Amino acid sequence: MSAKVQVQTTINNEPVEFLCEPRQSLLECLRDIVGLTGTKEGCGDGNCGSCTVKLGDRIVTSCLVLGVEAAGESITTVEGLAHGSTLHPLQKAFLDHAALQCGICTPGFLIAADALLQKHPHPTEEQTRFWLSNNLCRCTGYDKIIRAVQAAAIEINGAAQ
Amino acid sequence: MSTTYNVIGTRPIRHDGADKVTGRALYGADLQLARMIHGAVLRSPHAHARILRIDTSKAEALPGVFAVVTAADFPPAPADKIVDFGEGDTLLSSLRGNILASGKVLYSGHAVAAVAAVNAHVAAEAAALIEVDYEPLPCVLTAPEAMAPGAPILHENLPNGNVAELIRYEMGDLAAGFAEATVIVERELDTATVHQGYIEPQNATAFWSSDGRIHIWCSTQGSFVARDASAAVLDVPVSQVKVTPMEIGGGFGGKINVYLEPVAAMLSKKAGRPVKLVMSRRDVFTGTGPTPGSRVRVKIGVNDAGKITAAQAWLAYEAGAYPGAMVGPGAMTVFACYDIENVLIEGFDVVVNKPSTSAYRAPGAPNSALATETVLDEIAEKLGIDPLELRLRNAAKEGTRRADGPRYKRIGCIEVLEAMKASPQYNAPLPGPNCGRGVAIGFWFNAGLPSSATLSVNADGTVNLIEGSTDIGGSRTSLSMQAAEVLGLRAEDIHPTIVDTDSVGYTGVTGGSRTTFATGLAVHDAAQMVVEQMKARAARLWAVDEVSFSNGTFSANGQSLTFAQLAAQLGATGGPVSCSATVNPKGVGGSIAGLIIDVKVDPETGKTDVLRVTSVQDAGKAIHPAYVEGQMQGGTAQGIGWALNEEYFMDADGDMRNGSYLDYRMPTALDLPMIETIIVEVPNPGHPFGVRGVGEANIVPPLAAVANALYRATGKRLNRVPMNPATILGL
Amino acid sequence: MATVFFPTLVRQQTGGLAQIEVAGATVGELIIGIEARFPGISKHLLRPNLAISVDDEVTPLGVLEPVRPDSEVHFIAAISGG
Ligand code: FES
Ligand code: FES
Repeated sequence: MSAKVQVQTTINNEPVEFLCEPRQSLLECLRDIVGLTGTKEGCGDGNCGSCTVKLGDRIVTSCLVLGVEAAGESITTVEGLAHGSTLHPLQKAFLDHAALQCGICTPGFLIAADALLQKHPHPTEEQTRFWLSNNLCRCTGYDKIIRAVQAAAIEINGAAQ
Repeated sequence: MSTTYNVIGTRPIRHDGADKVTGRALYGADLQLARMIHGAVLRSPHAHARILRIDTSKAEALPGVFAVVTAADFPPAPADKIVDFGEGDTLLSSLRGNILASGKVLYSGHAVAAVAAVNAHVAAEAAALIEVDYEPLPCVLTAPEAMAPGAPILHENLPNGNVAELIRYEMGDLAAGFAEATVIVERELDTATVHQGYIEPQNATAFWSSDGRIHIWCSTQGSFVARDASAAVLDVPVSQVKVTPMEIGGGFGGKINVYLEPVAAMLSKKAGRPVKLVMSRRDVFTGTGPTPGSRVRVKIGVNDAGKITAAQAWLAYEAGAYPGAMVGPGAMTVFACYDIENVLIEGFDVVVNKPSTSAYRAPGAPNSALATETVLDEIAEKLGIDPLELRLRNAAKEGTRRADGPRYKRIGCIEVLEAMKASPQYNAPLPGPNCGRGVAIGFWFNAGLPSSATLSVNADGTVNLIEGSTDIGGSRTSLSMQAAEVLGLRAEDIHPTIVDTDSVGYTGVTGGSRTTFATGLAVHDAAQMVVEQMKARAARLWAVDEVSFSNGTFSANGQSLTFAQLAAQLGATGGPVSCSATVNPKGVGGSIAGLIIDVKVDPETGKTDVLRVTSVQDAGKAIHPAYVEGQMQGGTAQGIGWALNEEYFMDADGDMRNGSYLDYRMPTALDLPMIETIIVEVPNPGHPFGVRGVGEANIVPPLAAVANALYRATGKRLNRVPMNPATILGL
Repeated sequence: MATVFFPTLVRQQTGGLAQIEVAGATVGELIIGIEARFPGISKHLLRPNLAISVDDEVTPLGVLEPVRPDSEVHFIAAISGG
């Protein structure tokens, strides 16, 4: 066991400090140390997207990032999407469109879709599918997820011109 | 049916929705307990080997390690002891042997030992320190090879070499039937081993208390099955085990069997602390139960009128390391969509050195439907008949006898075929060259099995629902809606909770497409009991004999009370109302599904693009249509992945070379178009609302529909699934 | 008398007979009747992984399931599903 490192970050707009081993992934730190278990582990090797979080201004698969790399960064996880008890429009759209079945992939999709809508306020179906292709869902066949994201885009950014 | 419903058929927000979109819902791996430690499992690198020696001393000596277990720590399993979990019987020795190998390892990935340590990293380091001496044995990886004379034998005690079970169904006069045929087509098709691919890996946390009680938390399709199987493996009474089902991240049949639960329990017994085990993705691929690879040969004869005169099938399914290859259902479904007089079906359950297989959505049926539905496609082409028309001429209906014996009650085969014919996609032109359209249909039985539910009326007019069916795709809501319908309430007036095995009556797995049907029946019955008791309260209040109830209002002699008004007076009229019902129903309604798929194949690269898909299924009655569509879309997507890409790619030594999502390559959002759905509703007479169950039949048609579409696009009849670029280009 | 259909592979025990009419009020009584005629056959009919279907429905009651004089009884592979 190697000596633990102190990491100072901001998680969901709150300053957070944690102690981790240098070998621990950011995913592990979030889930097992900080206690934010909303971010899920489906593969541990960057191929399912269920551990997707926002790190600074990019989205990452947190299983492939070390906890120590988060020092000084700002992180958004699924727990940080809603405003108090008001759901984020994406969260609401996922419920309205039945875009989750088991729900294990949902946190990753929500974070990835949120980043998509910040970059492309009115993504086409193709853009949406491309952007979300790092996130696996085995339950839904993606149809209702794509529809939910596009509905949320309109909710957030108004109808496309 | 002209029945109108208030709640059934609407699309309310699911009850667990807010928890699941905010990250609050707790899945198995999310559990944190005081003093909890973490485990790791050591797995065999050999597909077939004798275990000569296991030395755990170095692992035990590593600082931070609390316990190590091997098969020797478990009570022995008598050779022929059968355990019945209400889902069919299992040989205890197979169950035990698969959980931790003793004597021999039978597949690469077979669990050999497990460690519990202060954290998962230390546990993994310790597992690597366990020394195992193996004597490698020759391995056998496919059913035809395993059936051949001289094949390496997995189990000495099977009477027929590696064939664990023979199945045979016979009806009519096969030779006479073929003699009447004017067109006969025979084909043999292979399918590869595939995995359910649920995104959440298996997990289990257990605490073996000093009073002997064992508490297990896990992601399972059936908490009672997990309880009973764990108790059997640990050789303790079932009442000594309590299973708390956590939220479950997908199952599709793969989370019925236990793998980690008894191991976590035994580690906990040794360590005196709660122990959590979570599989890696590679462990999931190599150490859980994929669904069988198969070889299926089908021969069908048809007369000039397009009527099938005879059909013959030969099926060999790979069970993996222990018997149980789902060849029974494969054989029973191979011709189940059709009315055929002369049939012979032979099935072989064959053990091979691969992971012990388990169910995957309509287990066994896609493999056999692939052969039947591609042969029919070829026959339709030969006869110059539309492929749906050929199927319509032979479609099973009420009274049709299946080859395994029983006759159908009301079944929606014709309705599904008609809906396919009338669908927008079937009537749209294909976009251009190298494109093809394929169709296929499939049947699945669905299941009954026991279920229990309790409804308790709250003073504010809402109702708490206690049930034991783990919710994988919105069943809290489809069950609540059935209660609401009976009680004249809104879906959101019902508060469903899924509880542990100590807190509700026995409930079978969330599987076999049974939850909305069977647990729905329990909920329906409990709701009717609530209505009766509430009527009695109103009668007492009004001093009348008869009270009627409709649309949520109790009335008699011009007086009336809404459900909520009466609920507020329960305390004063005799106390709370709480009703429980248990069922073990008959009346299961099978489901027919169909698929239309348009593909485009790049002739240079052999890559297939899926252009358009329509999934059609007889739901009986769709309680929550959005989640019915979701089941259809999900099963279709899985079936397309199975058809085009997915396979266990094994090397000659039986090692899986693609045990990651990167290489196993399930469909992504970019691989699929929108999935159109048509819900057909031919009510099941065996359920008060007509429910049949929709979880499984939808995965039966895609393999064949894709194969047929590829033929139309390329002119080639492929005989191997996955039909990936290499297969398509004939490489 | 109810009609009991023998699974193909059990017909070795019945000299090739595919079905038989037997009297009895439950599946269990039918099987007692069949056993009297074909001693030793019941272990081939009542075994793990075979379910009993009465009048085209698999019965959770098994041998306790009541039968009518015009009932059909089949022994089929037990199915649960995914
Ligand atoms: S867990 Fe990180 S990508 Fe799968
Ligand atoms: S909803 Fe289950 S994996 Fe996406």
